[in-house]
Amino acid sequence: MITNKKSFKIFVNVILSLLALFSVLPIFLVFMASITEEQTLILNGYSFVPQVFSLYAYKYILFSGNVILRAYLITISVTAIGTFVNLFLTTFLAYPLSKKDLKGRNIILFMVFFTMLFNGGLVSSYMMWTQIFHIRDTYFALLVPNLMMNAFNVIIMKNFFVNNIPESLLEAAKLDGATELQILNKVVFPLSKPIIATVGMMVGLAYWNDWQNGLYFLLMKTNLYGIQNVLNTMINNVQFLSTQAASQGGAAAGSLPSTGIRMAIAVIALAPVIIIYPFVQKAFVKGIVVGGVKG
Amino acid sequence: MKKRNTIKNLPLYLMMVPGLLYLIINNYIPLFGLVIAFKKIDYSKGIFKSDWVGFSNFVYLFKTKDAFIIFRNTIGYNLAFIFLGTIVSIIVGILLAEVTRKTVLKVYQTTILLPFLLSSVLLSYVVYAFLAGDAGLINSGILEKLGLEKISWYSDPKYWPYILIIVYLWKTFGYNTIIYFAMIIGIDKTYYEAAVVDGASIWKQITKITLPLLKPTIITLVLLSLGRVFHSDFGLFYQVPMNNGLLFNVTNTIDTYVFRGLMQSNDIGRSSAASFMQSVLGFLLILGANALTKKIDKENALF
Amino acid sequence: MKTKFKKWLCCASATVVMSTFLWGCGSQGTTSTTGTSETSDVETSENTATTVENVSINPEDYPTIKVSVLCINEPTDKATVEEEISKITREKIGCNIEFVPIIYGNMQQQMSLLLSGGDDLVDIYFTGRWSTLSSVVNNGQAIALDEYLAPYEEEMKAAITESVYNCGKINGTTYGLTRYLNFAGFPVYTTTKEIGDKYGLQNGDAITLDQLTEFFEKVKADYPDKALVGTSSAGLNNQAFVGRVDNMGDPNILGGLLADDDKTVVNYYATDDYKNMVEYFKKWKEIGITMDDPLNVVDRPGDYLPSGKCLGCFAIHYDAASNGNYSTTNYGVECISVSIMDRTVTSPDWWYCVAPTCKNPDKAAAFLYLMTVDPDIENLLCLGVENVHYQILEDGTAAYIDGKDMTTTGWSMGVSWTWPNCTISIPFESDPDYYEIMVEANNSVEYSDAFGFAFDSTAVENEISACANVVAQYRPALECGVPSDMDASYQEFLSALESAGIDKIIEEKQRQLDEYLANK
Repeated sequence: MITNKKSFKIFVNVILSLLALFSVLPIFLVFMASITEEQTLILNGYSFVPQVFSLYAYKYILFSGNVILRAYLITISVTAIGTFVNLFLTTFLAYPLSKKDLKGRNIILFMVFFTMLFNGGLVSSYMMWTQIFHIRDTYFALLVPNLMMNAFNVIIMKNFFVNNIPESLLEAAKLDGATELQILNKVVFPLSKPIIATVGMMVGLAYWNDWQNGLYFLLMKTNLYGIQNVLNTMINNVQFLSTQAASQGGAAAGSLPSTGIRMAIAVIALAPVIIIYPFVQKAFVKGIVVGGVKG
Repeated sequence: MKKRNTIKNLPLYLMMVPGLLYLIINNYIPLFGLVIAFKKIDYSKGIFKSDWVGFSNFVYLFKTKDAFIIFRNTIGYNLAFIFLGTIVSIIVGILLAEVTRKTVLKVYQTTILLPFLLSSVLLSYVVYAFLAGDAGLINSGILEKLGLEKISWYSDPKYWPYILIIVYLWKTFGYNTIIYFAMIIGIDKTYYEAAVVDGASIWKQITKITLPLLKPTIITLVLLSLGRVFHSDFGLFYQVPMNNGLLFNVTNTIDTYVFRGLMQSNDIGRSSAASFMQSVLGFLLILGANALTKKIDKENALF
Repeated sequence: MKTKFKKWLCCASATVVMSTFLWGCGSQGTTSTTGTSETSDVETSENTATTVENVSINPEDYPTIKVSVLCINEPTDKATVEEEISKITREKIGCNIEFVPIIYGNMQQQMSLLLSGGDDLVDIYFTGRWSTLSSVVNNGQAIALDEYLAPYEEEMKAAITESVYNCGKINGTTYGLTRYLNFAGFPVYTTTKEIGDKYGLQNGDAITLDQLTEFFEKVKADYPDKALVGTSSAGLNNQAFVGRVDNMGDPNILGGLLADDDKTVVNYYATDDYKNMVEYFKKWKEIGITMDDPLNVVDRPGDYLPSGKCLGCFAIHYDAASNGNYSTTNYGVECISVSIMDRTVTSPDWWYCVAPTCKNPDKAAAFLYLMTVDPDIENLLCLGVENVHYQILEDGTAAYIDGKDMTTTGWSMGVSWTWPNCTISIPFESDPDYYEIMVEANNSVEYSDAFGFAFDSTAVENEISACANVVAQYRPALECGVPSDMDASYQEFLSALESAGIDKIIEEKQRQLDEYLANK
């Protein structure tokens, strides 16, 4: 849109600031709870201003086995590699599908779309990945199953190509004798920066948030756990200790700062995103779409 | 002629090979697991040699009067999510596209995406921090200070349709927004320039340029989400209301019902049956909707 | 133009190279698991050379039995404990032991995948919480053990009593070994010593529900702002607070046995006993014993004790005084516990089974036997290696090595209740007579003929799913007095159960029980 109205710009910014606050405030509340002393929290309730300050929850998490840093590194590397491969697969599948005259296009589109609805279930895909591809307890378990390409992304990327890339440009390039790869690289990518960045972001989020691959495929190698698996395990442990009944013997759980730990875990899962996201996005747009940007 | 066309397009076909290969491996080979829905699995015989049992794995889904409630909830919430989610995301997407300063834009983009990064367990704690009976921010921080009576949020079903919708929107609006945002900033600027020359107002530009150009995307996204209308986000309906029995009338969905019913029995036959049924119903729905779209607007049908 | 494409190509090929490289790394990773166990074998063959003279076979030549172990983190010293145990098993039953760690929070998913994936990752595994004996047997995931256990049967029966041994049977065939733990328990009420002293309750006292109600009234009058009972999403306690009934292994009690009639399966919720309980729940609701929104708390019932937000909580235990001591160490305030009902027998809910993929079921059975009778094995399982994972204190109990706790120790400790017979191990972080009291409590009650009966739910799965949903909907709310009209809610509960088909479940259960009793 184009407008010179100052009032509209202000309106836009006010609304967006409110939405940003709406998104962040609950998380800020969680952060405050994570640095509030446990008993105060139970007694006085959640508050934006902690009455009694305590870092015990963070100490508990960071010093219980020193795995957080390694898990971060694993998650970051999986996210980076996974996103890259995924984008490669997605664009290379979506671009041909955007050609309306391509023979068999509808069948392939249907094939892609079909996978969004039907799946064989966990057991069969587990059997395939572990018995044919032997990815159990390897780094690949985090990377390959389910996340490497997503039908949804293929379809929205195809849509973008169809709607936002003028046919005339493609025709012109073709007349110049450019190959399909060259067209993709010189014409399509430069115009598709927004969708590539967006799909990349969504894929990145999927990798960052994923805990299922770790849960299913990393059985004897929990040292390959990414950050989500480590944090999930920790939450489950707190839960486990709390359901352990007195009559079952064994050790007393001690008074764990359970609420505080949960809140601190939320913060630890989110913090790097806040810190590195802007850089990643920049590098991402620059690095991946660099091919066509400056001609 | 035809043949030449295919040869000419060979590079295009080759480009698709890696992606299709992945789909075949990751999505199509495991489809053999669908037979589990029709079998009584005996692991000592193996999946393929287990006995066929017809549709008996499906019966439990329709066994009680809860069947109506779980289907109503699953579909009802999904429709509300699709409708409201689409509207909110388009509006925010349009607004975001108006922000010209790169740094400010980045701040907005990052912050609205944050809720999406919370796993559903953590999401349930965030909601709890607000709604807890004693310690929650709304009760202890707001209502109590204003001298109003505390509300037992988790004990009263009447609040939960709203709470679930708000929580869902809070978590996902940023994610959906970035799709529309990408589509909007991909729109050729010359359209708007021409419109401005003709003296089009902001509202006119949105309704006459942006929305029509977004239409294919909106149709695709809505169609795709219709296919998932029989599925529900387990975390949202199980963890966020904390599996509270008092709220079952408004929180029980197909997925939570299946989970509660099969928690102990470890019966993959019946859980596969449920997900198979969800897929088939979604598939039929999407086929219908797609056929309808084809009639009205051939261009934008899914396939 | 060309350069751009080259860049792309470079990136792409770099990824491919990188992934192949990583793939390689990964598969190396897998082989290294077996690699480590080999190295530790070498280590120990040195050890054994010094300690045992008559080792004629290489340790590697023995078959290996893989045993699942519940833990909260993957134990870092797994190999050490494996080797210590294997030293004993090589000598006594001729096999090596390897552990498959299962992290508690992942148990449900990982166990079902392990047993359904068709590969032989595990030989001996536990069934409990994530599934039941009858369902693994039903799914063909457990083999019949009678033939293999025959040589050990008598000795095992002597160790854990015959009725407990028989709990692993379904239709007369042994499929599992249950754990010997507390079978006789009662609900206890825990409060701080301060409150106890003030109102005349001593640790270990036995009171009635009426006395408890009276106590609640008095305390509430003096402390109107305090809650008297911390709750959980499951109701008044993490376990069901239901009264004197044998749930027959089903925590939802879809058909149970009353304390005075062990032959007739009844719908417990419709009995006078439960009606009576509901009356108490109503009285407690009027007094106001719980916090606001009692079903939605993320902390443990007892977590509210230290801050004084709650003055007490319920628990299930076999000995009130022990529970009081446990609470004192656990919550950091001095606590007392009183029992509020007589003991009831509850059926076991945890078994060890042997997977159909096991190549040496005879060795697996032999290890089941050792786990039941051999204190050295049991100590290693429950506590790890002495002076590495635990130390013996002056009073003869075991404790963590100084500075270590459940999350930092190298072995899966604090879950001794998962092993077949922890009563022969050294009491850990508890009273010296901990297990003696447990055994005594177990012996203090009479075991019904139905004890050990395992229900095969195949025929009524649909009804069970439906009823499980109903129980989750009504029971916790009733216990905590949440519904505004308790009587109406209770009636709804009953009619919902009925329309969900509880009668059919009971009928089937009764039929199977009759058969079981007849064959006994």
